[in-house]
This record gives sequence, structure tokens and C-alpha cells, in this order.
Amino acid sequence: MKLLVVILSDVDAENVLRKLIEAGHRATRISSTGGFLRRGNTTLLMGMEENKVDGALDIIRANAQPPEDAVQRRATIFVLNLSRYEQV
Amino acid sequence: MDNLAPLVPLVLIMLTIASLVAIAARRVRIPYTVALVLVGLVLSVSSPLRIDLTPELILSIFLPPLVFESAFHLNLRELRRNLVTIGLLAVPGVVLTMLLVGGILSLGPGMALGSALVFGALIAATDPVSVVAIFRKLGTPKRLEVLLEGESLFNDGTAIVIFGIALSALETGQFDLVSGVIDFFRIGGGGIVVGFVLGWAVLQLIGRIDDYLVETTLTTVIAYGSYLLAEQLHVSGVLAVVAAGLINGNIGERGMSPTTRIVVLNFWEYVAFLANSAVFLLIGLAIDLPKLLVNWKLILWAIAAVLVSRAVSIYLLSRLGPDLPSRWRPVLFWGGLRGAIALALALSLPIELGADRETLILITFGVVLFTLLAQGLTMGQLVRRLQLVFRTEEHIEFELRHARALAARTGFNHIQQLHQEGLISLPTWDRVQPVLRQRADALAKAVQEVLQRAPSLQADEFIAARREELRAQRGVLANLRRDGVIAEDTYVQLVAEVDTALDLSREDWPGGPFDYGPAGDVKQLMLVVVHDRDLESVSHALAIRNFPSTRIQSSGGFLRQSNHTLLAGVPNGMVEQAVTIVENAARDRVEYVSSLAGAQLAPPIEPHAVQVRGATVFVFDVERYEAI
Repeated sequence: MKLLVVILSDVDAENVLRKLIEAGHRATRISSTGGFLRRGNTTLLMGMEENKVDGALDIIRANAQPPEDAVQRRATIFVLNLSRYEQV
Repeated sequence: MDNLAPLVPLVLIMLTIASLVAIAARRVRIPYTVALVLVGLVLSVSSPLRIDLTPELILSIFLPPLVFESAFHLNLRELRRNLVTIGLLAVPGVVLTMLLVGGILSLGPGMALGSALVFGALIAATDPVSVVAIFRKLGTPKRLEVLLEGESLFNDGTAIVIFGIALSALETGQFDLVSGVIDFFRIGGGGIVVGFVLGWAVLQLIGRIDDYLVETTLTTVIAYGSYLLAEQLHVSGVLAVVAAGLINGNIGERGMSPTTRIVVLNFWEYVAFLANSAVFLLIGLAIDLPKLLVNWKLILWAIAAVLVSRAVSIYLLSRLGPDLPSRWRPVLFWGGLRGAIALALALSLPIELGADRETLILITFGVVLFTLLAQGLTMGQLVRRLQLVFRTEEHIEFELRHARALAARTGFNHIQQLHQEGLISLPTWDRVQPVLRQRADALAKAVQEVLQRAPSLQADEFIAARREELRAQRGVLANLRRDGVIAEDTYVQLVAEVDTALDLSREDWPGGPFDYGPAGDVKQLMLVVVHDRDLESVSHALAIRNFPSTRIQSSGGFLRQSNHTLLAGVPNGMVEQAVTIVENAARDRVEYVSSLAGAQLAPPIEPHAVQVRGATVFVFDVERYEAI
């Protein structure tokens, strides 16, 4: 099992989240600020099977708009190993 | 016109004195402005140098450049982020200072209330130029600079308006609060409007031309023009200059190419230097040394009053605004230096005030001298003690080594060039060459060594290298044009391309190579839970070392306080470094609790100390990291 931590700008969050849910992923959304993308941004937490990770990454890549600033990044993604995942 | 003729040699003498003093001050290590004053003092005693300037002339010649230069290089975006705090300090703060200082001086040493209030108003104008220089050198958070500079800019304006109102109240002997308040808004607001309108109008012109000589002239027109026009309309000239300066410095940026902007900034730096020097020299000339010593008690009262009112402003008044890191407050308190504006206002007091005028000039001078010496010279230590220094030993070491290496290499290249041109004979070259080359190589190696020790410096180096390359390109293009190799049009187009590239490499976030992200493959995710008080310093400390972080608001734990959780990607092998950074930026702190959470039924206990760790750090292994 893997935990995906995805940091996106607020603008992209709605879109990406919708597409992710449509594809069957579940996500928890946290509002955050500053740092990587410097403005109001959103952090998504998603737990999923290892084989679903690439699919999720593709969805994110496809749906995050290119930023006005060429130097900024559209999304930052951490994939962490989960030793245990429980839904109670 | 004849009374201007003797002015010219006088001005030249003053400029010569200022230059000599500047050179000497550097040797002796005292602040330049202090040296000027001392020289002025000496001159007033020993020579018949008399400067006869009317008060209006003093204000209208020296104020506009000082104010315009500050306004011009202040960043509007950063100003806006801190607007509430700056607004609080610059408007209610000034009124508060006037009342407190005036009150203390009239109650303590028994000064006449009217004069005391006038003094309180003029001393409210701050001038943090020397501490800002220290901040830049030590790499303190940019926001501190913005707060002090923004406050200074606006309180110059409001202090002058209030000073005018207080002065007319003193002269006419009557004061009506309502009309005073109305006057304040009319004069202040009117000034800002005039400045905006004029500034905007000139901006349209500047945007249409790309000739730095003309554009610089236009900024001169706007600086003095807005002042004079506003004064004609009986509104605040200084606030007009502030408004005009802010507009041209920020929006005007888009209308000015980087070349123009550099020229304009240099020009105004020079003019402000002249104005500053003139004011300090004039004060030295105007002060009567024996009288200064006689009034020492009054001066001490004044200094105490100013410090008290500053403390109230920073520790009480600013709490009405957004939260500030607690470690910043002492810096803001101690950074409230006074300078040229207060002195100019004192010099501009009408002669009709008689003996009072002299006394006021004396105490103004005493306070300014104190702030320059006691506060200005100790600010560096204060900032270090509060651990707000982010320019580490490594940065400084890198700069030293880099500069030495550059100098050695340039020297070597030059000698080699001379030899190739036949200006140095072979035997000499054979003897000199190996020594020079060895030295240059050793110094270059030293630079590499310090870079390996602190990889985060590489990002700095990258940006600097890019800038150097672009500057060299621009230099070559200028030479080609000068030698007639390329036509004017070609030059203009090529320079524009270089300028665009230069613009892009400028990062506007206060902290450096932020956009370049983690230096290397991210292998770990660090989660840091910090107290709000440490948020700015921890996240800044991480960011300038290439650990940009995302913040999430959180709360809780034992004491149920609001805090933040930072997420930062950490490249391989850098966890120790990251944790050390967090450790240094967020110190252990002791909190007092009056009752343990959950123990509400127990009788209230004495507050006792709970050791609260500065921050909590979790580190996760990251299997995969993508930045898209």
C-alpha cells in the first residue's frame, strides 16, 4: 500500500480531485499555503494499492494547468510506503 | 539671483568636506553621518561658515530626494502584505509618539506643552537606513526590513503633517481637535492624491521612452514637482513624493528596462547621499557646542521619552495588527532610529520661536546622535543574539574565497595578456607565471571545497553565475555598438533580449533560490510541527537552504495551541542538515500553564513551567518523488 501526498495549487485542486474520484480513488483534502507553490494551495492525501499509483499520477499530470511562471511547478508528489492501512 | 551666487562656492566646500569625512570615517570606523555632525560642530566653533537657508528652503531642497529614494525602491507587494502593521505604526503610532513624548517632556523637565508636542511630532519620523544595511549584510528576514522601511516612509509623511498642525497650533496659540483631525486627513489625503496623479501621468511618459537619461530626468521632475505642487495646493508635499515614488518604483518597473532602473536607482542613491550629508553637516554647523553640554539633562529626558514611546508602539500598539514573531519585537523596538528627516524638521522651525528653537534643535540632535550610536552600532549584536542571522559562516566564507579566487584569476589573466602582447619579456614571464598560476588554482580549489561542504550554496552560485553571464553579454554588446560593429537598432534589440533574461533570473521571494526546489533527488519527506511563533523563522531557515516547505495549519497537543505543520522534501543524505536547521530555528521554550488540561475540577494551581520542545519532526522514507 502506498500513501500519496500531492501538493497542488487551489486552482487545479478542484479539477484534479474530481478526475481522481471519477477514476475511483479516494482522497482527503487539506488546505495549505506557501512553500512549493507559494500561493494558497491544497494538499491531497490518498492511500492506494501499488498498482494504482501510476494511474493516479497520470491523472494528476493530465489535469494540472501549466502555471504562468515557467519556473513554478504544477504539482509536487510524494509516494510513501504504508506498512498498514485501516479503514474502520 | 545675487543671493544665490555666494551659494555655489559654499556648496562646493560642503561637498568637499562631506567627501573627506566619508573617507576618514571609513578608516576610523564611525558611522559616516556621525562623523559629519562632529565635523560640522568643529567648523561652527572655529570658522565663520554661515549658511542662511530659510526653513521652507531646507524642507523643499532636502526632503524630496530623501523620501523619493526610499519610496522608489520599496516593493509594493511586500508593503501590501504588511500594510496593517505598517499603517498602525505610521499613523496612530506617530500620534501616540507625539502625545507620549510631549507629555513626558512637559511633565518631567517642565517643558512648555506646545513646544514639547511640536518636538514629539518631529521626532516621530524614523530613519532606519543604517540598520537596514546591517540586516542586508547579516541576512535577516526580509520582512523585518520591509516593516522598518515601510514604517519609516509613511511616518515621515504623517509626522510632517502632524508637525505642521502642531506648529501652527503653537504659533496661533489655539487648537481645535476636530479641525485638527480634519486638517490631518485633508492635508495627508490631498498630498497622496496629488502624488498619485502626477506620478501616474509621468509614468505614462516614462513607459513610452527607453532612454535612461530622459527617464532619470523625469523622475527628478516628479520628485520635486510633486512636492512643490502639493505645497502650493496646501497639502502634504512629502506624502505626494511618497505616492509618486511608490508608483514609479513599482508599476514604473514595467515601463523601465533593467538598465534604466539601475541608472535611476544609482542616481537617487547619490542624490539622497548628498541630501543626507547636507542635513547632517548643517546640523553640525547650527549647533552651539557649549549649549549642547548645558542641556544634557533635557536631552536625557528626551531620549528616555522617545524610547518609552517606541516601546509602547511596538509592544502594545502593534498587537492590534497581525501577529509578529516575538523575536522580532526587540529588533523593531531597537530599530527605531531617527535621522535626517527629524533634523530637517528641527532646522525648519521658524526663527520666531527664538530660544525655544535652539533648544529644540539641540534635543533633536541629542536624540538622533543617541539612536545612531547606541542603537545603530549595537543592532548587529542584537540580531545575532536573537538568532535572526541567516547568512551563515559558510555564506561569508564562500564569498571571501570566491572573491579571492576571482581576483587572483583576473590578475593572472592580465599578466598573461601583457606577456602575449610583448609587454613583458619571456624570462620575467617564466618566473612569474608558475607562481601566479599555482595561487589561482589553489584559491579556486578552496572555493570548490566550501561548496562541497554546503551544497545549498550551489544554488546561490548558479544564480550569480547566470547574472554574471548576462551582464558580460550586455557589456560586449555595448562595446560592439561603440566600435561601430553593430548598428544602433541591432544593439537595442539585442540588449532588450538580454534584459528580458536578466529580469527572469530575478527572484522576488525574500530568501533566495526558492523556485529551484530541493537540490537533488528527494528521498525523504520531513514533517515538522512548529509553534506559530517559530513558523516564519523555521520555514525561512529551511527555504533559503533549499528545503522549501508547504504549511498546513494545525493545532493541539498538550496545550491545545494553534500551530503549523510543515511538509518538506529532503534529498538523500540531507536529513541531518534539515533537522539541525529546524533545531536552530525553533528553540526549546518554557510555557506557563495555569491548570492542566482536563483537570478542571481540581482547585486552580500555581502556574508551573512545562518544558515545550521547539518543534516535532517526523521523517518518512519516500519511495517516489515527482515534481511536475
